[in-house]
Amino acid sequence: MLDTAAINTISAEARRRAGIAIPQAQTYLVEARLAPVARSEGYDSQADLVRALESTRDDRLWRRVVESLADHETWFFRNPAPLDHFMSDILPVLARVKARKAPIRILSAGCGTGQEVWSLAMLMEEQKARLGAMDIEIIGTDISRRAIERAQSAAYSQFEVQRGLSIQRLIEHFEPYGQQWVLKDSVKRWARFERDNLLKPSESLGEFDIIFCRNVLSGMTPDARRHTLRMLAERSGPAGYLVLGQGETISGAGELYRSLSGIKGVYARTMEVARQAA
Amino acid sequence: MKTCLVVDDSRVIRKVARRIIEGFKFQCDEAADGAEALAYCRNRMPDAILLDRNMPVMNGIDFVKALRQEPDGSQPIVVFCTTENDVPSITEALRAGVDEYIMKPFDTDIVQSKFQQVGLIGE
Repeated sequence: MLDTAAINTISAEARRRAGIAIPQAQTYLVEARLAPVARSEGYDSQADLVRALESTRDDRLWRRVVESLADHETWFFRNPAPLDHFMSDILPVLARVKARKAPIRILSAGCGTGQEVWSLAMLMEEQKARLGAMDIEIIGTDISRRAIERAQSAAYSQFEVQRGLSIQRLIEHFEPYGQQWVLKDSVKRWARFERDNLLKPSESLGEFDIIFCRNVLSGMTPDARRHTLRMLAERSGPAGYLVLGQGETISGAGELYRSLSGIKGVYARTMEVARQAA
Repeated sequence: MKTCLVVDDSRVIRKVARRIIEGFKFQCDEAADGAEALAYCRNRMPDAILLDRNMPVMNGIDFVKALRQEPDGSQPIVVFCTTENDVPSITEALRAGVDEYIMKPFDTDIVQSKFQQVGLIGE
């Protein structure tokens, strides 16, 4: 059992490093998430792990702990309406306004174990005849190394491939491998992943035409949320779009984005593009 | 209220599945094999059928083939539910006329996701 002081230490560091908000009612989650970290780092209990963190200030160990708290469950084609809207309405607009030969760049920010990225990649593969010569780049980023490694492996358990994925898509895009199902190369070629912190984004990733950041802001403190929205705006091209999760809004950063009519949770960086897509 | 027929030769599985599906506000009935299920459907087509593969008397594949030949037999949405998880088995079931496919073991999240997939329940 972790005492209140230990929980507070962990919460403060999760807030400082990744903007993660841990509500009082969810402190049991801290214990649950820390259990496997303690085990694999060779500590007898979560309390021993926290004592080690407090006495050594070991940065690598802290990163592991905070990343374990950032991990969140996700599934394929979660809330698919914005994905369909993107394919049918936004992508054609981007193809028109982008300079010739410039790739259309898509970011899944806080992509977790990669299901959103691979859902987009499956849509691209299914609609490739329509996309023609369009050059498309999909990049997934997450703060958690463990999540990024899993996303890159594109291998999912039988439980994971049955959440959100139709059986037709499963047998079209995946191959069984032992107890797991692995995405085929035809889908994998559409996307890549990098580890990145939304609060301190690396500049090397460049600008994006659309950023999906769904079900990420809701786990953050209000300050971290505002900061993240500003960072995402800096990564948006002049005609960039932003897609948030259900129940998430741009509140606190309303000057950066405006909502698009017709589809909930989709925002545009400038008025010009908002009009074209409407 | 939508109706669902749960077809499995295991009483335990029928009970578990029934409890999950009743949670989605379906009225459920049970059948222990394909022949029982076919007799039930000839009397009244349910909206959904959760169907096991390996059963005595008539298995799931033979049942769904027979069902699809019946008048109004194309109406029920058939969700297969089996431990046969290889691609040839899945393909065979889809060709025989099933709409979705659950690989056992299953849980509430999976049944819910699959029922959403085929439009039996909302998001």
